[in-house]
This record gives sequence, structure tokens and C-alpha cells, in this order.
Amino acid sequence: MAVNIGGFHSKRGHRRVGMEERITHETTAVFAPIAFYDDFNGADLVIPDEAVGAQSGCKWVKLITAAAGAPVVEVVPDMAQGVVQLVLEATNEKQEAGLYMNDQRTFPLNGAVVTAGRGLVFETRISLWVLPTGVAEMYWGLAGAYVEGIIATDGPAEHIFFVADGSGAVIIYTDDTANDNDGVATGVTLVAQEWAIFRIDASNPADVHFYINGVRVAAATTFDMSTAASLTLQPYFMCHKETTAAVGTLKVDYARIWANRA
Amino acid sequence: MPVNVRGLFGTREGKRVGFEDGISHETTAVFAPVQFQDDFLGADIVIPAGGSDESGCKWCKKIVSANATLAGLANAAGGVIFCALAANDEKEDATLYTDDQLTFPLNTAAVSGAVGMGLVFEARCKLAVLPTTAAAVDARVFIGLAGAWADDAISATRMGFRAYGTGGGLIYCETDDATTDSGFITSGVTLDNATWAVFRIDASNPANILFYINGNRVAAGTTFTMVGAPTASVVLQPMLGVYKTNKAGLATLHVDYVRIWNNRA
Repeated sequence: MAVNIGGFHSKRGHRRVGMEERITHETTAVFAPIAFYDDFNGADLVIPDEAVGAQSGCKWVKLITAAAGAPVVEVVPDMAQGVVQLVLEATNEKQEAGLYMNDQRTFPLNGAVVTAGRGLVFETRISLWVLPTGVAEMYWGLAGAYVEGIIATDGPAEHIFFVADGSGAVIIYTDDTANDNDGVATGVTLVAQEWAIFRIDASNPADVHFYINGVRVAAATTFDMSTAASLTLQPYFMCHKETTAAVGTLKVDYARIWANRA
Repeated sequence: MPVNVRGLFGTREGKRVGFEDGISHETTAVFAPVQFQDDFLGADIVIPAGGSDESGCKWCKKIVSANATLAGLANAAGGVIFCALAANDEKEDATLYTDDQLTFPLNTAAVSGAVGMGLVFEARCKLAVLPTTAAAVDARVFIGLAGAWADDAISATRMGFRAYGTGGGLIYCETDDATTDSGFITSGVTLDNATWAVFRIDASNPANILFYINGNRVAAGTTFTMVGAPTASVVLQPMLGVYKTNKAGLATLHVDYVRIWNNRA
């Protein structure tokens, strides 16, 4: 890949100074007070299970739901640049494979004034490595506390998600418990093993913007997340299916989140 | 919070290039060889006990008495560690440190330790419960850098912001190189229990250590020196916490982030 790095200085909505790769539009540096970044490099391939509890030093937990099958959440051994994979397998049952922060919600969306945004931006590079089939769905973004379920009707009460539901077509779901946007088309369809960079700019809670590979998507819809005051969120990656033999594998290359202090 | 970012280009004593928030004066990036930062985000709100450090976790907690507590504050925006004393009339300590792994260099072996390594410490903290009990054994707060932990004294070698029961939310500055103790020098800044502040110690010149609160230099009338250290090549660790020797005093410190940078030794 050719290197073509540009600075951004008030060119994006949230106006933080930083650097981005101009070809992929990956944010390579941002100078925000709260700046979280995990590229999943290193020795620690095992993500602790939420049923056992978080481990000191690890920012993540995995959530596995299965009866007979074996869905997987793990860092892929020896995969370039560090990648976590979430795998639903073909056992005919309800399954979940999730990666999140054990409901420690530390990323502020807004303050006491609901429209007073905290400059919150989420970015990740993911691949629908095995496209979801049937009722298998994948969602990734920011959310409140974990709630099991189909994102169209259940899932975390507050969420800002890109979703792939039974195919590579990417759609958007947001919900702040009052304003609910379901299945808004992005016009982007990924193929298996294709990587893409997804950014959620929630710096204005009343008008959250979505980007795929640097291009704003679903721009005609106003995604309003400004109902709850002092809302804090966590990064959230989930593969879910109701009882069927559907499959799907989501791979996550990195997660980067930045915000102002509350 | 409005965004007001500006670059640091030789404008601080440390002279490292970087960025700071123009309103809070938090350093948001600095381009130094050694950089450490923890914002205490994520799932892991349990800090392992001193002596039981865990792979992947840079911190331990020094707890004296089971009544003192130190952990991540659940669902706190931006990620927060709290260090709290209980009301029991007893010796207590709740200090966040790196288990006496001293890796941040103050000076070099050259010339009596006065050659600085560009060491700067910064933390955003709140005295969520102001220290109480006006006595020599009152509840005390420490925010800074120190050598190996010592009972009742933080460490023999230390530089930090202090608060204690007699002063309530009044912040003091102190250095002690194990030879010379500056004593508690008032910063002139008094915090209430709801106010966050950005504390910075610029130790890039060990013979003249500078203290800042919210970007403003404090205790500027005092020359804080750490060049009397008995050995050169002094290395330190971050240390933030609350302690008391034997009283019912209270104090709770909230720590939002810790950032340290310096040159390579």
C-alpha cells in the first residue's frame, strides 16, 4: 500500500487535530484527551470470558452463547497486524459471539445537556470474513449495557451500530431509547474477506454521522441519540443468530475511540 | 467542552513538541521517546495487589487495612480509578503504583544527577472526598512520582502534589530527594470535592522542578531540587493515593488519567 498521510484540522465534524491515511482514510493519530486504541497485536490471544470476569490488564471480554456448538471469539494466531475473529458455526441453535468491555461504559456521548456532545468518535476496520447467512447478523459500534437479541427488536437499549444481517449489505441501526432508526441502508455491500473502515462520528449526539472508507453514508437520515443525559457507551462487536444453522465470521483489525473529557 | 487544541513547540520547560487542549491544558499528545499513558478505560476495573502484579496490567494497588479500597469506578465517563480511606480509626493506605518497578528516569549518571532526562508527569485528579482530621496523623493525598513505596511516607524519594486534613482541599507541592525535603509548599490552589484539575510536574531540570495546576505554574517562589539524591540515575514510578497513620480521617482521590514522558536513559 502506498503511504499518503494527511493531517486533518477542522476538516471533520468533530474538529480534533490528527492524521489520517488518505487512501484508506484510517485515522492514524488523533490528539484528543480520551484516546483509546487497540490493534490486537501481541501474545495475548485469549480474550477472557465475561462469565469468568474481566482480567486486569485486558480491556475486553468475550461473550459466548451456545448449548452444543462452539462459537469462537479469539485473536487469530499469527495474522498480520493482529485480528480478533468472532465466529458463528453451523450448529442448529441460538449462538452469540461477542466482544465488548463487560458493560464498563466509559466513553461519554454527551453531558448533562443532552445535545452537548463530547466529541465521541468510534472507528474500526472489520471484515465480514464469512458473510452472515440466514438469520445470522453482525453488529459493531457503540452501545450501552449488553442485552441479548436480534438488533431489530432487542439488543442493547442504546446503540449506534453498523449491521450486516444475513448478507454483506451494510445497514445502520441506532436507538437512544426514544429515537429508533432501524435498517437504514448505506448503499455499501461487502464481499467475503473484504476489509473496510467504519467510522461513527457522534460528536453531535443529535446528528450522528456514519462513514465507510472515509465516505459518509446514510446521509439523508438524521440519527438522533440525544435523549439520555450523560450517556456513556462501550465498544461492541457482536455476531448473533437465533436457532438455525446459519453461519458468519466477523474479523476485527483494530478499534480506535476518542472523545473529550466529561 | 469546546475544542481548542494547540501545539506545544518549545513553549514548556521540557521543550517537547506535542499538543495540548487549550482550555484544560491537558497534554493530548507529546512526541517524546518514552511515553506512558493510562486512561483507565475498559473492562478491567480490578487492580491487582502489590506483589501480585498481572501480565498486561501496568499497575498494582498498595492497600494497608482491608477497609481501604482502590479500583476502577464502574461506568465512569473517561475511565476513573478511585483510592479511598474508610472511617475506621486505624492505619490505612490506598495507593496506585507500579509495584516498585522504577522505570522513569529523573537524571543520568553524569555530573551529580543534575542532568535531566526530560521527565514530565501529568495526571487529572479530583479530591472526591476532601482529606479530614487536622492532626499530624491525618488523612493525606499524594499525586506524583516516587521511589519505592514506604509505609507512612509515600517514599523516601518523591515529588508530588499533596493535600492533608489540616488544609482540606488546599494543594501543596513537595519534593524530597532523600537528602532535602522541601516541606509542604502551598500552591495557592484550593479544590472542592467536585472539581477536576490537571496536575503536571516538569522535572526536566532536576535542579529546578516546576509544578503546574491547570496549566498555571504554582509555588513558583520555591526552587524544588532533586539533585541531592544519594545516587545518580534516579528512577521513579507514578504513585497516586491516600493514606493515614492512625486516625478516623477520610479522603478519596479520583484519578482520570496518568501520562508520563521522558528521554531515553
